[in-house]
Amino acid sequence: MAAFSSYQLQHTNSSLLDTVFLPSSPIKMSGFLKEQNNSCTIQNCFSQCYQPEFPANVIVHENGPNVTTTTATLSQNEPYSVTNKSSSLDMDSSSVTDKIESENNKPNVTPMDKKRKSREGSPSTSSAHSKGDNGKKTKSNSKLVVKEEKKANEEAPTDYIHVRARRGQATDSHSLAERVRRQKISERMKKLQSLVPGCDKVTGKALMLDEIINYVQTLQNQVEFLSTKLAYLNPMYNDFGMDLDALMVSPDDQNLSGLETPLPNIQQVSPTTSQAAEVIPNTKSGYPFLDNSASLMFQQADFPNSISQGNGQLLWGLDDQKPKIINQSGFSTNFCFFH
Amino acid sequence: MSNTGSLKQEFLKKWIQGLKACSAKKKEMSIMERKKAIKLSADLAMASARNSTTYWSHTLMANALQANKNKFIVSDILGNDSDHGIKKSSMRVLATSHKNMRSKKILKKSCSISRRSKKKALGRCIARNLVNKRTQVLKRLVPGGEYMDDECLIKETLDYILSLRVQVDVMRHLANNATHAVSHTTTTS
Repeated sequence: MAAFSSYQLQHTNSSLLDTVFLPSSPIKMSGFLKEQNNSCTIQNCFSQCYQPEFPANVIVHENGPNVTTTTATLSQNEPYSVTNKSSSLDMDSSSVTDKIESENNKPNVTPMDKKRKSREGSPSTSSAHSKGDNGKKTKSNSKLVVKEEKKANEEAPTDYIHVRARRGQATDSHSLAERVRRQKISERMKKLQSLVPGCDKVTGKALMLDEIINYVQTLQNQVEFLSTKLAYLNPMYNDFGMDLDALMVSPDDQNLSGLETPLPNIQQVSPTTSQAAEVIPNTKSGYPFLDNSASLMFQQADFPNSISQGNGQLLWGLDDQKPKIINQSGFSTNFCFFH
Repeated sequence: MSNTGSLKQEFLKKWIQGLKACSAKKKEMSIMERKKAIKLSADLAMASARNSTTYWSHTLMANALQANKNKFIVSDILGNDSDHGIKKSSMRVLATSHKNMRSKKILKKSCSISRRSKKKALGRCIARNLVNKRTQVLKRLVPGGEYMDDECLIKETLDYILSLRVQVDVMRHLANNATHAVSHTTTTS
């Protein structure tokens, strides 16, 4: 048996290496795979081979005399078999012997189809069959397989999630649907874990939900606070309706009026409408005062196209590296739009 | 991330559009009104970036439409056909979500009847209660969350968090630049 499984391993390995080098992003590896060079590609094809080639990810376990057919089918499902077999030869041999022995006990058993957590869109009608077959699998082997599946599952999200009924679990349609639902939820929770800072350290739904709720509340409060801040800093919406073109035609006037408006605000604790009205006549008088700052800040005022597009890109692209440009572009954005 | 970058630009454009519409309508506003206008246009810009593909954006826009005074902002940001489009799709969306909820509740009830005989571990009960409480809180936070089931809720939360982040980033940048400008002008004076 050991020789048989080792033969299988060699066979599948060589064919795998020849055929499969799919381009994809490198994926974190589990400790199972021993091939270091091709570990990424193997994992990739493990995750990707299912999509184009295997509409039904089936592993057919047949009786002892039909061992040759198992090699054929296993070589088809190369990625799975490789990851499974390479984990430990002893485990495989023992599991193979177990399967063969147990299947010998039940000669009426037809080749059972096992659905695995995969990425293909095949219907899960045959998941009901999985019970009988799973009863024969050793616990440790199923754990191994499930772990590998999980690691591969994290990478490529799909429409369908197939569930394997593990040993000793009910297989009526309700519980299966429940399990599918639960796995969808857990998959999404993992995505959320990557999004929400500080969520990687917690495990369990309740704690993660706690973190998520905190984060959403923080973000909402930040929005409130920032909108108040902006409202305080930009009291003047008088020239708001100006187009960018109009602004470009006469940049100086509007820009200067825009510049002027935040300045008195700082001195005024509560900008009222009367005070706002006072600001407008001040613009002309404040004109020479603002020459220096205007020239500094509105270098980009001459380029109408750059304002709308360039500001966005400059703001977001050069975020921390070039604060000067950001400030300048930010000013022009600010004062072109918030007069 | 190019995705968030493009989202930020889109958000900024729509937000500015909304703010222009606000100012065009009412020349002088108190600070609270200004703040509300800013927040509203920001939220609507965020929602329109998703363009009703998600529940939360849809509910945001629908809620904004309900108050008549906000209609001009919405129509400005989303275009003139927005009213009809939103009303129609809102009926559809809510109907489907209600249907989903109802069918799932029926399923759960039928399941629980068969399961009542089983004894459940106390720890599991407690854990489930905790999770349920928190999901209810989350449903209140995410707009339109009350009509969603768990799995949908988490998907919506994901999207909502992303958009909130973008919103906060854009607003923070603007606020920082405004304060910079102000400080600069004060120093030069």
